[in-house]
Amino acid sequence: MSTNRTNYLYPSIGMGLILASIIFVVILVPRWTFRPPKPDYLRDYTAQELRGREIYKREGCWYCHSQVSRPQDWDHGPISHSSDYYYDQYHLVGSERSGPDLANIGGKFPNEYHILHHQNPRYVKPGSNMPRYDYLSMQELVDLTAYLQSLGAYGTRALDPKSGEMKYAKFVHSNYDGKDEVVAVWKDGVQGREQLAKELYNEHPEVPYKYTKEIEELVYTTPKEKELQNAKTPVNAMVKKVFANEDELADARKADEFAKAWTEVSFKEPEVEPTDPVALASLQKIRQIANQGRGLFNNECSTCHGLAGDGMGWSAYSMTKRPANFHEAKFANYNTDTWFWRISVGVPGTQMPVWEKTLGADQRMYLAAYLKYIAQNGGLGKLAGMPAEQYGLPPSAYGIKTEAAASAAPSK
Amino acid sequence: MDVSMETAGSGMWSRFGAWLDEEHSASKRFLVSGAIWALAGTFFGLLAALEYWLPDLVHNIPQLSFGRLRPTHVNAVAFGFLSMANIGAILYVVPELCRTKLSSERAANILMLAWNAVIIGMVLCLTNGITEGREYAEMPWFLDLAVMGALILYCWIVWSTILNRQEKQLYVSLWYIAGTTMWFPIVYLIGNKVFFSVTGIGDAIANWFYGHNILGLWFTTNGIGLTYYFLPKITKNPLYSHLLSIVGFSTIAMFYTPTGTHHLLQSPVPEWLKAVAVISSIMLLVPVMSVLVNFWLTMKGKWGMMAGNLPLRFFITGMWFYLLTCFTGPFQATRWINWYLHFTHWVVGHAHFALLGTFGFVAWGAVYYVLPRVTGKQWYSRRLATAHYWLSLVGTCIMIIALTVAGLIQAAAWEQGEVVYRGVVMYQPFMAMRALSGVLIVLGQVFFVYNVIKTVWGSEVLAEEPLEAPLPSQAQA
Repeated sequence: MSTNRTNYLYPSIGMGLILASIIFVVILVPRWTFRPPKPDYLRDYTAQELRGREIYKREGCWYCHSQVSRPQDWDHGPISHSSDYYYDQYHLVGSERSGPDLANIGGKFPNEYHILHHQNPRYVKPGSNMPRYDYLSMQELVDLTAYLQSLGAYGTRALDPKSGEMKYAKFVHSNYDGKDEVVAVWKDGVQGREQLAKELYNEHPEVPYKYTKEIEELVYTTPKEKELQNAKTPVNAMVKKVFANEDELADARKADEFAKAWTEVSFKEPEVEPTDPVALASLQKIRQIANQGRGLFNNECSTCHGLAGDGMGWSAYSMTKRPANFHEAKFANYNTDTWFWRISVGVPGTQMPVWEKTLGADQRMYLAAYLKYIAQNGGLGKLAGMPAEQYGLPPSAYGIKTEAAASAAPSK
Repeated sequence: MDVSMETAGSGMWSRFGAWLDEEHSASKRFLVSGAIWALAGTFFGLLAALEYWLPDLVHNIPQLSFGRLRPTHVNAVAFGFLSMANIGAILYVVPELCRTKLSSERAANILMLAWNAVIIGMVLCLTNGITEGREYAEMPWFLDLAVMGALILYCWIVWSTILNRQEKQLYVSLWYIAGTTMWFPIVYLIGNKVFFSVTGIGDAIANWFYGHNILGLWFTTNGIGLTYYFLPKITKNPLYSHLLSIVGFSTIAMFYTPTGTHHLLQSPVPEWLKAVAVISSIMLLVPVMSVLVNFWLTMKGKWGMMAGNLPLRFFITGMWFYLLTCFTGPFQATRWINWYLHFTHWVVGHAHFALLGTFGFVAWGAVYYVLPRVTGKQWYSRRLATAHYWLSLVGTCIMIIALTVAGLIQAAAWEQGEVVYRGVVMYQPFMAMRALSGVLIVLGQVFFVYNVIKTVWGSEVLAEEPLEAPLPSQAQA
């Protein structure tokens, strides 16, 4: 019987070899060659954060919240790097984004916010369709919050006391245990919760932490960092924080120099793209920072100021004092400090909000950069194709050689 | 007394042994289990869809929280419904194609019991939060070991039957089925942490290798293998081209396996791996089109049979969905399209395109074709089956449209810099639409399961047209 049968041995071996070679290429080769180095800006999870991570996994949070900030994302913090996942025993990258990306959620909201939000997301985000996690115990909620606060750095870095180098301040609130305060609020029952929610909600559903001296203390802890605090304006400090994200700016002194230069630097696009790689990198960095603010602008400002920034948003028609048109010539003279100040304190007598109440300092910083950019270029300029241009390049491609950039960038 | 106990005991054991050894029983029981899991799995999905739309509908019950229902739904339909219906049909098709009996009905029945136990364990584990937290690989390690054992047993059953064959040639269905039995255990081995563990972002690479290949080297190869059998069998047309079937089969393992990384195109994983994934995703059109062209030309002159023959109608519907799935798939795997669509509901819609639209319909068709042949009974009702078909078809179409539109809304909102949760508010009406489609699909499954139960355990047959009615013109002749 068997002698009559067609021999399928060789085709079978061939198919087996195809599969084996593909597994070799796409599984084993990455297993051996793709080993992101241990990053110096990251620390391992604490036991509490790991407990929170288990809860995050158990409740399936990762089905709706991704943990990767992509080049095309606005408002999700620095682009994720492969080393960011160094301490992850299992990945929680996720495949769908029904809720915001959480790669950089740490430090964005206060602990109380997270706990309220998990109790009932609609306390703080009306319209949210996140499930209630009111069945979690308070200990579990605190653990989960500790994990969330450990994620990413929300664009901030601090000096490492030991090495004196700029590093991620992974989890700004890391030593802050809000447990007691929250439990105290909980004892007041629903009323206490709603009162807290009201305070946190504050008109805008996105509630970033407020930029205060305390936050600055938390971020800048070393004597060397105190120098940065003595900068003239919070803008200067924020510029440093924003730019200090790049590895090339690890040296705090250089960051300081660059920050000083940057507040006065022109954001006008040159006629021809510079060929000098350093100048080009500087330009790309400016575009990138401005682009970060674009998301915020479209979100928070465009209803009045219009998507184009021309003061023709749909809410504008109902206002007695028309919103500013950023294409007017005078706005091209605003420097970054001025923009930051105007955004922060609002415009008295108009409906322009006092944004420092609702936006974090770095968010206002990005907004300032965007406004300066569109004012000086009379529109979106090169930002229109921004995500496309960023695509496929490693984060270091946008870094800046500090001294060179400061001298190469045209000063106003 | 001892003696009587002993005989009672041995009598029970021998009855159990006879129950295990009944001819065609494993196939029948697999199909029935698959049908029941289809109802259970889609019900979990409906509940999750309702919660997504009305988040305060159920609360304070951890087991019914969305984050736990979603994996339960996915695993119940994938491992319960699709896998069991496929294996049930395969246990009938393989002996037919080999002109022999199943090598061990007892082993196949034990496989059926083990598989059901695994799925019940999976539902209990996942709803109670015992999960590995990796997509499609959520089952905890002890269930992974059980699945691995089941897959090896299944491999042995299929191969020992094939090696006993009385037929000289191996028909193309057998290539797919036999290949799958060897490939999928390897894929499962790599995809589950208990066997192959990587830390950091590399874990996502291994996860998505498995996550995509559970589709490519399990549902696709089983479903296509079965369709290769059923289409010529039902239409009585010879297979159009042997060469095309060779092309389709030999390229599927080559182009399907490296595509997993297209789920991570904007994540920090090696660029060359992304390039491999994108290229092979586009090259997938080769196995897909060779298979589909072969099917369409096999159908030549027999398209009208779809009117009378319900199983054929299910297969053809599934293959049309396959065409659409596999055209959107490679296009959304390219970097530029993926840039826009990744992380949106479009992708969820695409998953339903493939698993519900394509392989769900193939699995239903297989149940409708095989069950009368392994039970020796006629279907209880054609009307119920027709209702099942239309409810499933309309439900699937509404679901895919809703999810696709919701995905486009999300993508456009993000592109404009809207924060994520405001996008949620915008597409919430489409989530209501999806929940409605879920109602239709679950209703279809209720008819389906009722029909299956009445057919297998009932004795009456409603006086309706048979399920596999000939063409009206043929009926007159």
